[in-house]
Amino acid sequence: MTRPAGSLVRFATPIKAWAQRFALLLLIGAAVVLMLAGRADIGAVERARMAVADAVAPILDAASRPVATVANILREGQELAALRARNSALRSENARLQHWQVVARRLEAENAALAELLNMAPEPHTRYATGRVIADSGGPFMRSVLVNAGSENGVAKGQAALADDGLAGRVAEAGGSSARILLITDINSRIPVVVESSRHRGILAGDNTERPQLVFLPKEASVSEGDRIVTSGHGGAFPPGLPVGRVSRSGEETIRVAPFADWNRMEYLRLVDYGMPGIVSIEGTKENRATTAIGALP
Amino acid sequence: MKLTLWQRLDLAARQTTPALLTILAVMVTMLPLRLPDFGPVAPWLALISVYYWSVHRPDLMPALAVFAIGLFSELAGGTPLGVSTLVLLLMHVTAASQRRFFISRSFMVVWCGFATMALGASVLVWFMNMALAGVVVSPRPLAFQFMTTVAAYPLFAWCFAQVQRLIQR
Repeated sequence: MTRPAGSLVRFATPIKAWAQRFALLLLIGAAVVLMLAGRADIGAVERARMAVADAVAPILDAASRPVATVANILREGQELAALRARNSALRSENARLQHWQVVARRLEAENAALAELLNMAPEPHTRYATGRVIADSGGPFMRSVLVNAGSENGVAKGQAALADDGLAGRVAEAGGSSARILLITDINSRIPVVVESSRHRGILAGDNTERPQLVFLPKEASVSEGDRIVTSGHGGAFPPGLPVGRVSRSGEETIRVAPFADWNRMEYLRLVDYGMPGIVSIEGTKENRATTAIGALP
Repeated sequence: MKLTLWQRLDLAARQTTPALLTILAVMVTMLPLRLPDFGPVAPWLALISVYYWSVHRPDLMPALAVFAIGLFSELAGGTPLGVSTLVLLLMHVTAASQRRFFISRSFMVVWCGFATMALGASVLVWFMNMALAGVVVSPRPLAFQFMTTVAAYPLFAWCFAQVQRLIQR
């Protein structure tokens, strides 16, 4: 490749080098501005994120299917080995659950009768949307996943995401055909929960480890190992009673909860539309009911 | 010499291949592989790619492409905006400036250079994440990611070398 000769190039080349260096500084400055913009919680950032997520969602959806298939095949191979034992364990669990189903029906009828007697307000109608996990992303400092259900499936920001066994996280951003779920282990995650047995309220705060912390419990609360933690429904965020986890260690400064949700086998997530706005208020689109709902709760 | 349309397309394809390949690598990192706790320890492929192309073919990986790659990986991955972009840009600048040193050295030297720069990049990412989140975050997942990234470098460097040979003119 020969360069064109002449005085013009002698003038243009240093300009070109200078412009390249300037462009680099400009880009570094743009990166810093982006950092501040991302922190400032601007709507444009969220829309850009979801636009990119919507664009790559079909590709990731298609690409994650063979991976999921292979993972399923490997798991089935493992399970075939333990088939007999698993079968008998499932049989006994089924019998136990049948008994509980009878008890639950009886309690439900009793509850309905008592609620009517007390003239209690009915619980809002709950709707579910199911999405498949198509991207497990976020690097080492953010625990979030992308699912292939979006606002066109009824998913909105702030809804709860349930894995098979328990609460997995909440919807942080909802695009058209995909949504980003912030898991309960992320450092930004705060879920209002309650200890099932003693009904003490607290907040489940993630800190980027396997076991999120239980904070802001009342002083007189004593939590022992193995206590079940469920969502409290405060803030109008989630339906109450969703299983979250078990207390795994208490008595020291921090109380840690072992979540029921199994991160390694999280293929499908159920997103719960409780009929009330979630933890974060939705500005601009609907009325700002979240703040009034929090104000109305005891 | 006027280029025909096909020649221009061919040239454009060759010039954009490294950047597009990096974006593809970022998407591969995001796939849920369902290995136990793999998410936090997935290697940072964008860092490997930016380093390799900045050292061997900086003309194919201009600063704008690095910025676009960083921005894409943050928007798609949900990580705080600006952190990866800044670190990748700094990596690009450092690697491109040290190009003359690396270009005539053996692979081990290049790999060690990458390990050093990746260490700096990882520490920087850790500090920035802590500053943005406002809390102290344990560096353990970051240490794992650093190790897997450095360990993954030879494989991806070999792949990129094959690609470099293919797009050579």
